[in-house]
Amino acid sequence: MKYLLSTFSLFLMLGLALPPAHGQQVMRISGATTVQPAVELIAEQFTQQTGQRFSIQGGGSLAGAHDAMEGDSHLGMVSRSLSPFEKERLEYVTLGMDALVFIVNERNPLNEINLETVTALFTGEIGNWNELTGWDREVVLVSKEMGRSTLELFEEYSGVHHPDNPEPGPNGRVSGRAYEIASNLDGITLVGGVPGAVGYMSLGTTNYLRAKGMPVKILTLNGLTADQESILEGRYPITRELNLVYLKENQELVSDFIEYCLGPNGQEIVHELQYLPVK
Amino acid sequence: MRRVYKDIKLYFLAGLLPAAILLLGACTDDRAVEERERITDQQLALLVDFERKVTLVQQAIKSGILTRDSDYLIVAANISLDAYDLLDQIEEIFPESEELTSSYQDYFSKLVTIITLFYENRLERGRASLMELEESHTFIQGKLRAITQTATGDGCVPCFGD
Repeated sequence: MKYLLSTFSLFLMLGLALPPAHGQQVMRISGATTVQPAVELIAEQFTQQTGQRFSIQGGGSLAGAHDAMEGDSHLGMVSRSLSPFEKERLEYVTLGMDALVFIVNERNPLNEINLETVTALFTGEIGNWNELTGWDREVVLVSKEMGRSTLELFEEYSGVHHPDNPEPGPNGRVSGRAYEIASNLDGITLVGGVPGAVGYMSLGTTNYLRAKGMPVKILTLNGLTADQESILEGRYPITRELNLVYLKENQELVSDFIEYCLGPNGQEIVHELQYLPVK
Repeated sequence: MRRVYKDIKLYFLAGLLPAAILLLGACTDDRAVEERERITDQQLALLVDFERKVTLVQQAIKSGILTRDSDYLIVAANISLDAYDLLDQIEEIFPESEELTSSYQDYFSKLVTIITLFYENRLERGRASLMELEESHTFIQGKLRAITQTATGDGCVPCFGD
């Protein structure tokens, strides 16, 4: 009997010690794979502290904004500034800042790139690295699929559009020989595993994987390094916001998590993943 | 008597010389055959090593998908670079390996594309990509068999997916 009582007390104590479940609903989050790693890590910490459960998946910024608008997700991840239409319909917070960088395999002797070279490479005009460096290796292009904000940023900067973009780019279209990938993770792994590859990726994700040993290098763009200083001062030409978006009617469900994202723990994770925290 | 002895010596020497030449020739032939076989073994080892890398890179990516641990993707990228080093050597030695690099590149890109398809639950496209990947892998294995057959004359090396 004494044993039973002790066991009961233990269960009771454990029950009291466990944080209360933050509602019964699983919080659904979807969208940009650039924002996803940060949100996943923050959510993991938040679950430990509150018991709130999450379902998180990628799909791209367009899917993130769409899912949030349609109520398919409670929170959408969008790795770019919102359009006026999206701003009208959705509430949003900015978690951090990121930049788009051009990367090559670490074996490539090239160290810098400019707009003219970007255009010549991605339209397929330059087919071998020996045209730029003396290194005889075929150029392998790595580009993004439609619906990805990284692609939109690239198109805006380079004037080279995706082959399926209804509008032709002022500087042409991405070569049909380019490998098309979905997320930064795919893209960086592909560039890391193919000596002649070149791609455009998220600065944060690239730095994170490089620090762990991914064999890629970031090229300076027009002589500028994508560092905190050049990004915050607006000198680096391709930067973007990392946003979380939601419908006003979901505010109550998501507000504590958003507060946590913007708090010291959340911002520490944003910083650890090599993005620029907003606070 | 002395003359007879001298004749015998001459006959003996005359017989010994061609024998020595024959023996030397045989040794030289043996050494050349050994040399050829040794080089062929090294060449075949390159092909076997390459096939091993192809399998290892696939294993690393699959582990990355299952565990969602990016460390495996870094391992995969580094193995892939090793595979390219082997391909560079293979292309120099085997003229018939022309398409191997582009086939491997397609294979690696398909493999990498699968990561996000599964992360994002795009299973239909993921399954289609897996089938394409399998075809790609089979093509590489077939190509390696063909190169081996040409190099050995009979394709007797039991490897490549057996």
